[in-house]
Amino acid sequence: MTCKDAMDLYCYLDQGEPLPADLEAHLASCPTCTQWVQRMDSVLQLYKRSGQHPIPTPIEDRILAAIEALEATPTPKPGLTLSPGKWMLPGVFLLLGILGIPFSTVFSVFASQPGGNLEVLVPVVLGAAFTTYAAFFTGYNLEWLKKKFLT
Amino acid sequence: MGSDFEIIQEVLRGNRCLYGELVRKYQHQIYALGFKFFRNQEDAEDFTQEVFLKAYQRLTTFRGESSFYTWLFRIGYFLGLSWNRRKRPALPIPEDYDTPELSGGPEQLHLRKDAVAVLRKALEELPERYRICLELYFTFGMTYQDIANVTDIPVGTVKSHVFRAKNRLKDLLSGTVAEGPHDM
Repeated sequence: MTCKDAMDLYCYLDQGEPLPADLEAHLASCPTCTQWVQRMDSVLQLYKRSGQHPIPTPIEDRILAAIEALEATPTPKPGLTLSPGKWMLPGVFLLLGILGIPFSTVFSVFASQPGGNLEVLVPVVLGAAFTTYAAFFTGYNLEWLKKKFLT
Repeated sequence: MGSDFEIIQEVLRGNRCLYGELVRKYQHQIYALGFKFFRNQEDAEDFTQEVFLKAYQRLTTFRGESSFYTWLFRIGYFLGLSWNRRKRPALPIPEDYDTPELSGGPEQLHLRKDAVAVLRKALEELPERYRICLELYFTFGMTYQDIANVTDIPVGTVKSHVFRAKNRLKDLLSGTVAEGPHDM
């Protein structure tokens, strides 16, 4: 093992990793590398010490007070947090669905069922669905709608 | 009180005050980490508080698979990165940045100061996430694996960054000792 190999190997070692046998043997017979290792260690120790920043004022009380305040604050009930844009998307699909009914035969399978005259029922049901959707949309996005249309 | 894990179990059972023990135990390290990110006392203190608060809120998710110290540092590492992105870049390190008192002859002192400066410069040249990753190694004494667990940076990448930084030191220090090939 050359000195360069020894130094490279030393640089690869992890924290607290024991020296490999060949490196140990090299160091035992090479004062140059031993001196280098000592210097390297002392520089790393020095660097470590330079990074120690004890906290100027203990922060424990501040943290415990913050935790207390946090726990005293009632947790807001999780609500529907969809953005208005995402809210509109299902509405658009619903509307397109209603508009597409005259061009679709999808409901014709119900025509042969008892009470299958759906000519009035389907628009009424879908109209009700859209009205319900619009009501929810308005309710959950009242602030946004106010901002958009009233200011 | 026993181990960190036992303290956490007690805190989760409602003995909230015991959390103070964990804060007392790790506040200096977390503050030092904050100082590595922001390099000023005020931000480092706010950071310390936020890390402990976040850790408290997530305490139920701590399963003891890693040490509490590593887990806390993980929270701190990602919080520091996101604060730095949102707030401001860290101040540059001043030339005479906190070098501790040295002992030894004037030549040795000069050399060691130079070597620390070289290491610091090597770290400064790296992007923030890697710089902090090396600080975890050189300042906080974490192993490669611990650093990978904290930062989500692959172990191999951590190793190669540490190796490169040590190599710069090696080059500086090997010029100061009588060198020569020495075969075994």
